[in-house]
Amino acid sequence: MELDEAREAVYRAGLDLVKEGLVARTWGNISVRLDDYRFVITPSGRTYETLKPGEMVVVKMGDLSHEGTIKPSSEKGMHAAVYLGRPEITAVVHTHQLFASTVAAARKGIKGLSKAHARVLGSGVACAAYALPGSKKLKRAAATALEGDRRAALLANHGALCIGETMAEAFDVAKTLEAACECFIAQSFMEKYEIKGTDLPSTEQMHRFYLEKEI
Amino acid sequence: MDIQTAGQELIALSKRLLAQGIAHDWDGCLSARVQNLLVITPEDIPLSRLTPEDLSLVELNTATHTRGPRPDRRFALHLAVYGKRKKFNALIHAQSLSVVTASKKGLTVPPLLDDMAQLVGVSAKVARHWPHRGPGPVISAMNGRNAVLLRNKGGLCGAGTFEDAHAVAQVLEKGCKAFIESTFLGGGVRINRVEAALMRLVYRLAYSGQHLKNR
Ligand SMILES: [Zn+2]
Repeated sequence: MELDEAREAVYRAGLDLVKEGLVARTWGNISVRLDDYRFVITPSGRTYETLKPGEMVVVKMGDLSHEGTIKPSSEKGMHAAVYLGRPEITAVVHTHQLFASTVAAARKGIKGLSKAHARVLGSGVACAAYALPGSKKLKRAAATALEGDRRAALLANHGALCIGETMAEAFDVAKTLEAACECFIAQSFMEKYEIKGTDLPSTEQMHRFYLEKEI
Repeated sequence: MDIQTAGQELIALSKRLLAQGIAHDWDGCLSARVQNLLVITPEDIPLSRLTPEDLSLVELNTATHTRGPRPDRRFALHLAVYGKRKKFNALIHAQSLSVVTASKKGLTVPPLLDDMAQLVGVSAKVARHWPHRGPGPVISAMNGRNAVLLRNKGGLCGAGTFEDAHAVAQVLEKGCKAFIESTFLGGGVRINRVEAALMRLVYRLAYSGQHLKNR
């Protein structure tokens, strides 16, 4: 991919993810593979709305060094690990999305993916072991959680990592992951409280129940 | 900042809070500190109809109402918080679903997500006796933190700017959601307290203001 094209793709994806509510403010980060050695990523600590395409940072996968004076996202190592381990992947999106973060807070993988969700997400969704943001440990844990044909991983106590062969696919993975986590929470709720039926409860209904019950 | 700019920012933010479900139309409340004045939403006008002339001004030192309609009934709490927390210039009442549920449940919300530890603090405590015992218990429950839960009434979020207070409200909602709904998944796993405190420190030193510096 050409540099300008890659920068534009990361820039557009940032705005689209904000619109979808999957990232906000300075949280999360987005990258696109430039060639076999480099990728383009969002800068550190900047709000998506104030970014310009030219401010996206070029980072080398090998030593994580970057071009220019703008600092890349502190999670660059996690993105590099994905590109190095999965040659078919060209887009990586790290989000702090709500339902996925909730499952990640329990440090659980998603069990019982529906067929429709599995078509997008792969055979399963695992939760990467906890590690401090920006650490090498987090980078290794995330890469392990994405082994095989997986397209998404939860990051314990933090958020999610979604990948794709195109940016459109990574974007679809993030949206599908959110829907799958919402279902997983509602199904787990029904199992825990032995509620029969096929209709999943709404978040409001679950909260009402939570207030009436123990814990 | 002058009163006029603060008022415009306050009104713009109040519409966003409404749209995002963070504030309720008739019960929402936000304020700013501008020099020795408190600019606060009025008691008897809903946020959706708010214009700059509708904002109430109260002197911080004397608690004298100097301009505009009757201030929100919670203005004394705001005066007390600004008096104690010199770095706060903006306060928002968070009334989103999970924050309200957590305030009704009455349990301290532990740090289950990295961004909660960074922006809110090592936990969100509940001020149990609000409003009966005045602002004192609220201020002590908020000590060292950017948010506090008011028993049955949602949360109070404070920061140096409206933008940061808004971010605190968003992260508090996500942190409360993760705390409540992870119980359906077998329970959230909390971040170790030392790491949570460390992350908050690093965040405040390294990332605050990065959106202005990293250009
Ligand atoms: Zn993150």
